[in-house]
Parts: sequence; C-alpha cells; structure tokens
Amino acid sequence: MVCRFFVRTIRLGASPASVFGRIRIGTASAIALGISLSILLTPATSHAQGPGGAQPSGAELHEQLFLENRFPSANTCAQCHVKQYREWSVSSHAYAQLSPMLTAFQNALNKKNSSTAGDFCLRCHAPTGTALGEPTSMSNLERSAASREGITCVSCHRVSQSFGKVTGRYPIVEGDIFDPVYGIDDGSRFQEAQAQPQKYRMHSNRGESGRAVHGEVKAFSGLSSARFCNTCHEVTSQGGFRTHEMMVEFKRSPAAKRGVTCVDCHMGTVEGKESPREIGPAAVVGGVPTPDRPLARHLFAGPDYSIIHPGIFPHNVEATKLKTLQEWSRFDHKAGWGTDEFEDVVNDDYPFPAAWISADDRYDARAILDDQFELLGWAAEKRVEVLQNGFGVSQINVKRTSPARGLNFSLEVSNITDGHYTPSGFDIERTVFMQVTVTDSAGNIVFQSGDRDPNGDLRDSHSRYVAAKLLPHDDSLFNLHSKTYVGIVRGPERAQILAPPVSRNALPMVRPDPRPTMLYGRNRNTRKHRGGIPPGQSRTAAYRVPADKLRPGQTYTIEARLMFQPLPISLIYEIQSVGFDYDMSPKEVADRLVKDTTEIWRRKATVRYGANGIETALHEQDAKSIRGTKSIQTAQRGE
Amino acid sequence: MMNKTSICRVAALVALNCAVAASVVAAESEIDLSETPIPFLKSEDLPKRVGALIELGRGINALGQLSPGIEMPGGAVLQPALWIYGSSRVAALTTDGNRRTLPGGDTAEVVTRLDLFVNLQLAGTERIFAHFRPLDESGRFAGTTLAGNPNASETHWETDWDIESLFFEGDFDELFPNMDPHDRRQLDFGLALGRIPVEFQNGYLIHDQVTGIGISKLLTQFPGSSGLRVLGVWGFDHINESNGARDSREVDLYGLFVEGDFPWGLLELDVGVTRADRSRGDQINFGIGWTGHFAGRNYSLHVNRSQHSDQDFSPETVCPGLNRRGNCQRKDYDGTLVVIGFSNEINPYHDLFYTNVYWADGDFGRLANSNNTPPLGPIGLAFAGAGMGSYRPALWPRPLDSAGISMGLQKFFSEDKANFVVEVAHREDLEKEDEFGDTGGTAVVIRMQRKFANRFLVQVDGYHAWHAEHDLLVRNAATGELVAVPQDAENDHASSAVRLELRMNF
Repeated sequence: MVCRFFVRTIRLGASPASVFGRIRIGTASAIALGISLSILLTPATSHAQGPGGAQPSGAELHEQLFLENRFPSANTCAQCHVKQYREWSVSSHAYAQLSPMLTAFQNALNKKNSSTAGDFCLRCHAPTGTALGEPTSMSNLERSAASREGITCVSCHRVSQSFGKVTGRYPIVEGDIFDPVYGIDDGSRFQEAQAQPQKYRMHSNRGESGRAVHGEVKAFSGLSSARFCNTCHEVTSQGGFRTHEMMVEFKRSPAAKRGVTCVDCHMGTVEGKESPREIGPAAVVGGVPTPDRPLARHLFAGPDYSIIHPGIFPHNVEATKLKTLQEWSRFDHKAGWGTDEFEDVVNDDYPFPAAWISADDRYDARAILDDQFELLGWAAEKRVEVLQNGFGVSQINVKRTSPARGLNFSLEVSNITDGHYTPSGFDIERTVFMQVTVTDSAGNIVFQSGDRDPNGDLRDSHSRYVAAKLLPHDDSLFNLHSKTYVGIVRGPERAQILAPPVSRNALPMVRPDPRPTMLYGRNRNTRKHRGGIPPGQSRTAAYRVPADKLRPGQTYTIEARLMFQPLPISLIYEIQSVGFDYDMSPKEVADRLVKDTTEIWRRKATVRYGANGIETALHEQDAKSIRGTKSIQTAQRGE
Repeated sequence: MMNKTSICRVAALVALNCAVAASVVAAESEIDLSETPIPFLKSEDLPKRVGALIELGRGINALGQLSPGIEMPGGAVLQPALWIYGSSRVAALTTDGNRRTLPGGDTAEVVTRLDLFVNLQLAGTERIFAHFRPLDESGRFAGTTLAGNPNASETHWETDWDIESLFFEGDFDELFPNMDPHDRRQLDFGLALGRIPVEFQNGYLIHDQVTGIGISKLLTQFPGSSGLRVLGVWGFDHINESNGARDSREVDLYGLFVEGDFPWGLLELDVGVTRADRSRGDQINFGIGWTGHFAGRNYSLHVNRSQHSDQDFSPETVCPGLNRRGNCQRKDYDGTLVVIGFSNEINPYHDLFYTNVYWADGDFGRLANSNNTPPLGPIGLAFAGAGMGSYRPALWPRPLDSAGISMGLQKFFSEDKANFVVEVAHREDLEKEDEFGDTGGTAVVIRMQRKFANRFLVQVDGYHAWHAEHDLLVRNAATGELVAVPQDAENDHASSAVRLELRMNF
C-alpha cells in the first residue's frame, strides 16, 4: 500500500518524502491530506492501478502513512541511496521475511507450542513488523512495507546502541524520514551536502516543500562491530535452545584476533573475504551524487536464495508502482507473458487475471522482470563466491587397497574462512552435503551417495522414503548439517526437525528453562549437535564401493560435488500443515529449493580397477580450484 | 507365577511388534509432498497464546515495541521483564502398594502439585530465576486420602515456600561488554550463582539442586570436535546425599563436566567430588557418556562409578548420618552403573521404539541426589514415579547389584498432541541373599498423554508388576542377624497402580 502511495505521489511530481513532510504538520492535517490524496489519486492510469488492482481506502492509506512515520520503508531510502537499495533488494536480509519457509516455520512452531514461540523467529526476520505488533501468522502480501522488507534500512540504521545477545529483541528507534539515522561515520559528509541546499535541493524540516531527507547522521561506531551483527546472528530461544552461535564462533577465531569483523568480509567487494570497499557516493540526491567515500556493499551474500515470484523478490520500487504483490504473484512469467513470442500468438480468450488483461502492463512487467532476473543472477554469482570462500575441497583421494576391499576414496572438506564455522548461523537447517556418483565406462551408476528421494530429500533418517523403508538409508552420506536432538520419554535422544520435546511432554511450551542454560550451553531437553567445521579444521568424506559392485578391467569415474541447500526438504513435510504463503504447494517449495541448490565445488577422478585393485587414478580438475590446504589458505590471505 | 510372567512378557512383545508393523504399513501412503497448496494458516486459526500468569515488562515472546533499556556502567543494556509462570497438577490415583517403593498397602488419593517459576529477565542472557513448589513438602503432597494409608489424615494441606532453585545466570561478556570493545577477547564465560540444578550423565552421576557457583566455556578448536563445553561447579551448601535425604552438614562439591560434539557423537566426561565430615565421608563419582546416531538409529552408553571413603560409623548412634540405607547398615556407595540405550523411529510418523539395558555392580550412588527422580528413573517408566503422590516406580529404582531392561513403544496421534507409551521392564537381582532379598521383578507400564485447549494436559499412567518370590530380610537390631519377613497378603508378589492427572500450564 505504501508503494501504491508512492506511485501516486511520484506521478504528481512530488517526492514521497516531501509529501510526508507536509503531512507532519499535524494529525488532523495528515488525516485530511491522506483522504484527499486517496480521492484525488483514485483515477490514476492503468500503470498505477491495474484493472483488477485492489483500491486502497483512505483509511488504509492513512494507516500506511502512520506506519511509514514510525518505520520508513526502504523504498523511501531508495530515492537517494539507489546503489545500496539495489544491493540490499536482492540480499538475504531483504528476503528474510518474504521466505515462505520462514513464515511456515514460525507458524508451525507456534502451532506446536500453544503459540508460546510467539515472536521468536520474527524478531530478527521482521523487526519492524514485530515492533508494530503485526500478528505472527500474517501473509507477507498483507504486511506493512517495512515489515515484509525484513532486515530493512531502519533495522540497522535506526539503532542507537548495541544490545548484545538479545536474539533480535532490540528496539528500533521510531521516527519518520526527518529523524536521525545512525551510521559508522560522524555524518560530516552528510553535513557538507546539507550545507549546499541549492546543489542538492534537499531539506530536513517538516513542513518545507522539496526533497526531504533525514535530518542528521549520528555516529554509532558499534554498527560495524561483531557485537552488533550478533544481535541477530547469535540466537537462543527463550527456552534456552541455542540455534545460532556465530558470536561464540567468531570470538574464538583467528579473524577476531586480527581485529577483522563481520563487515570486513561481508560488506566488501569480495563476498566472504576481507576486501577493500568500493569508492563512490553514498547517495545521489536529485541526480546529484554526494562526495565519494568508501561504500559498504549491502548484498550480504549468503547461502539462501529466493523461491518466490520474481515480481515480489527482489524488492523493486518500479514493480511496486506497477502492481500489488498479490497481482504480481499471479503474473505467469514462465508462460512468457510480456514477451513477443507469447504476446504475438496469445488468443483473445486467454484467461488472464483481471490485473493483467492489459498487454502494456504485461510488457512493462516483463521489462521489470528482466531486470529482476539480472539482479538474481548477480546474487547467484555472489552466492557461489561467498560459499567458495567458505569451503575448500581436496582432490579425490583414492586408496590403493586389495581387491576384496573394493574401491575406497575420500575427500577433505575444509573451512577456509577464519571467522566462523562453515556452515554457520542457522546451521540446524543448513544442508551442506557431498553428492557422489561412481559410474562405469558404460555410464551405469555403481554407487551413489548424497542423492535424493522423490521428495527431494537426502536419504537420511528424516527422509520419509527411508522412514517408510522404501529406500535404503544413505550410510555414506557426508552432511555438515547440525542436527537438533531432543530427549525422548526414555532412551537415547532422537533427531527432530522441530524442537518441541513432544515425546516427553504432549503439552510443550516455550518457557525459560529451569536450568541455567548459559552455564550448560544448552537446554535440558533439546540441543544442537554442532556439525560445522571450525576455522582451520577439516572433515573427511569417506566412501567405499563394495568389491561385488566392481568388475576387474573396468574404468570407473568418480564425481563428487559439494552442495549447499539452505534448508532440508524434510522440514517442508514437518511444517506443511500450516500452509505456505503465496499459495505455494509443498511440492512446489521443495522443487524450487532443490532446483537452485548451489554447487560449491566439483571434483572428478577416473580409476582403473584391475585384478589387483586400483591400478591408476587420474584427477580431472582445475588445480587452482583445489582449496583447503594450508598453503592455499595462506596464499589466499596474502600472507 | 513364572508361567504367568512369561505369558505376559510374550504377549507384550507380540503387541509391540504388531503395533510397529501397523505403523509402517499405515505410513506408506503418506510419504509424498502434496502438489496442492495447503491454505496458509490465518492468525485466528493459530492456538491462542498461553501467556504467563504475570508478565511485567515485555511478555514472553510477545509482540510489540521494546524498551530501549538501561545502560549499565559496564556497557550492558538491561531490559528487565518479570514473568511468573508454571504448572498446576491434580491427580487421582490408586495403588495396591509396592513393597519396595511404598510400604503400607493400598492407597487411593487425590493429590496436587504446584510448580511456580519466577523469572526476572534482565537482558538477553542474564536473568534471576526461582522455582517454588508450595503444595508439597518432603514427599507429602496436599490432597485427600480416599483409602488406605492410615498414617495420613483424610485431607492434608501442605505448604512449603522453600526454594527449590534460585540462581542468577549470565554471560560474563554480556555483563561487561566494555571490557572487550573490539570483540577480540574470549570473555564469554557462562556463569551461574545460587541454588543451581545440577544434572549430568543423564542424571546418573548427579541430580540435585546445590548452592554454589558454576562457570563454563565453549571451546571450538579442540581437534576433531565442533564444540567442547567445559563446565566447573563448586557447591557449598544443600548438597544432598545419594539416598536423597537432605543434608544440612558442611559439604563441598567440586565438579568438572566436559561435553563435546564430535562427528561420531556426543561425548561426556564428568568427574565430581564431595568432601564432608567423617559422619558423611567423601565421595568421588566419574562418568563417561556417549550418544551416537547412525543410520537413523540412536545409541547411548553411560558408564558411571561412585567411590565413597573416609566415613566414620559410630556404633552408639543409630543411623547417624544420612549415608544410610533402609536397614541402617553402614554403606559406602561403592559401585558401578552401566547403561546402554537404543531408540529408533519406526515410521514416518516419528513413532518411537526404545530399549535400555543396565547393569549395576555394588551400591552405585549419585554424587548428590535431590530425590526428585530415582537413580534408575531414566532407564524406563517402570523405574520412575510420577513426581507426585503415592504413585511410585513399579520396579525398585535403586541400582544395588542388579541388572535390568526396559522396552517401550511410543505412538503419537493428532499431530503430536497425544501419545501413548507401552513399556515392558524387568529387573534381575544379582545379590538375592543380601538383606534386601530378591529385588527383581517384571512390569508392564502404560502412559497416555493428551493435550487440549492449548494449556491443559490429561495424563493416564498405570502399571502392573510381578515381584520376585522372595521374603524380605530384615536385620535384627539385637542380634544382627537377618530375619525373613514374609510379604503381606496385599503386596503378595504383585502390585499395580493407576493414576489420572490433569495439568494446567500458565
């Protein structure tokens, strides 16, 4: 709704900020102006309001203005901070709340825990939404703009102090566009720009017309500290279940000793490595760039990727001008809408939804989507970059053993960061696995591990096909997933996808643990078994192909791929009963997750199996890409 | 008697197998993800949030804007919130007694238990916590005796505002962040001070609330491990003895407890010592624990040893210390307890099968024991009570020269809102000729739980146990000889109990 409001204000030739400026004259004036605007702007062009588009009421517009005055949307910031907005728009931070997995996960937790999980996930994923008191189970299509933007601009730049390990429970300073923002510098460059009103044509005074900007940039040096980032990246549930331990990992890392912090590696020009900042203007105000300075990249590339409609994510000011999120979700880009190939042959009776009847709209949408796909492609490249800077994989090490022992080989997977585990963060769901296939010269698969069941799951204990004994358990599976183990009524703990200890107690609730969890490092009933690799360490993925699967004289090809899937498919099954946002089916969610699973590294070797066992082993790989050895790590650090 | 027992054992095993097979067959039809969208849950369809009894400041996991807090001189930002919550339980039960765990014959009663938790959350990791149980004291619960137990009045009201636990806990680094403004120093120790619940080795090694201080640190660079927690505890008060009796003497407890995550499982290495005067003596316990998960199956091994020394037994004082057993014999808690566990999910519904086997040599005793749960309680439901009233373990829960096994099946219903457990357990006495006689027996136990209306739980427990045919031996105080005491008719080789509990969380 805020976006629609922007569309209209921009069409009137005024910046949204200036409109807000006028509105802040007084409450009564604001109401009157809001209602007037809604009436005035109703007959907007089809671009602003598609034929089937929902018409926001005056009350809705007023509500959005009210919310905007508490927590401005990133779209507001985008007016001047175009570069930062674009980088952020495709980031994991921007996707945090839009993920249908997140919302379903949150709902499933609340459903199982008598809603006592409450705001747990959302404090970090939708910090403004939780501050506004938006219900936890609310479609993103209905959330306020700043809320569905997840970790949006104000989530960091309207925070005035470090709160430490609070699991996202920190207050965002409320205020409209004119209130101060917080940055790592002293705001002197902003003051310089502010002192040149003729050049930048901006103002910071409520009631004035013109381009409204924040009134002040306050220095908050803590913004670049690890402590600040770990407000959300160190997470302990109120019940004492520690799910993210990045601060713990970081504090013990070589990076911390060297004085390198999170932002040094994750806001530079190379994702996942300490790298220099790009130089450029922090803002472009009315087409005029501010003086150059080092710029922090706001992409924060991570392992997650979008599985939702490209009209909804990445965030896009133009897209929100064109249609609502609901309307975008019905734009069938896969069918080719908005392309000549489609539009030239489409029949008149094609069942377009009302919002997309206009071919012009479809062409406009396609143009926006082309930009979106380009942005998503860039993010995908950076995703591979950050993961490749996190994991190293050795060549395939083939052991020469007696024929009776079959074919034995292994790979070493290393953590080549020096700042935290790999995987890290939400490692109770991160699935980093080795997909291994051994084929004979005819292309027949004689061995595989890391393959999937028909749902897309790995064949581990969480696979329903394995549980139903329709597929064998993958005993060789190499997976760095940190599993959640939960106590059962009696006997050894079991792995659970969701943490409620339902075996012990059919009435689980999230309450502070009666034991000191900071002392124990975990909750009594539930614990994370850390599977990640600490900095400087490695783990071995070892495989054995039984001799009876091999024939002497044959040549076999071993292919190993280290894969990163942000969430396991088994999680979908566990949470599906609460439904997925955007009307996605569980299968659709799974297919999209599987489709974009990131291949980090690939290794290949060919072995000849003779009467005496392995005769030769040839490696097919780019020597430059073999990482993880000490010398390579040293070289990468420039030491 | 043996025939009857055997028949019951076979019947129980057949029932277990049938249930497993039925579960697997039923599950096969529901393994694929749906290609049809499932309606997104609306807010009004979610369970209504069960808030705490009292919430001052922000509520537990509640929505809304947060307070900016108060910045302390060390840099910590406090955002105080007070929550009082807990559970209220009322149970009706009847038991025909159990010569090992409840002398006194038949009992029928209605008992109550109230657990009150007071949590003053100071910051993300800092809090002051207290636990009270105001409606029970020393094993007596407020309630009404309906039948039996002539020693109890018809209606008895127990009040006890003694503190079960009261501690402050926090993260040193979070308390004084200004000591490490650049996040380069590993000051993130976990701290707890006060009367702290202390439980290690699944409760076999120690299970008590001791007054003391604890400090812990997570190590991340131990070779081959993804995290190693080292925890030290010094306790200086409220250190109960192995038999669970409260001890007001001067006792110190020192413990070092290490727990590490390795690719091959969870490793626990624990050692603890109590130092006391010679009426209690000293005790050292150490334990090794391992829990591993392979091919979807869960395994565990716990080996614990207790060694007692330097105790004086004064002949003129009858049962002087708390280190005594039922027959007032000097005992030193020297023993070993080995427990092997296995559990497995048997179908996609996450139904569970578990089995635990133990072997106890000598008189293994916990380093400190709150008596809330018996030492063998984690082995099986048959060795555990229900935490309130006269419903006691079906089989004797003391390790003392014995071996045993429990096998259980847990089935879940209604999206885990309900579950049913059936368990078969056996205890074999390895020293039948001591003054305790043959403590062996076999039991069948059931438990059923059902959640309703978001905050309520109804639970049914029941068991039937067949005890070994052996007279109880009692030492004659005058002669020192063991004298056989026949079991009374009521407890004749069998016992049973059933209870119905209603619990409300608030």
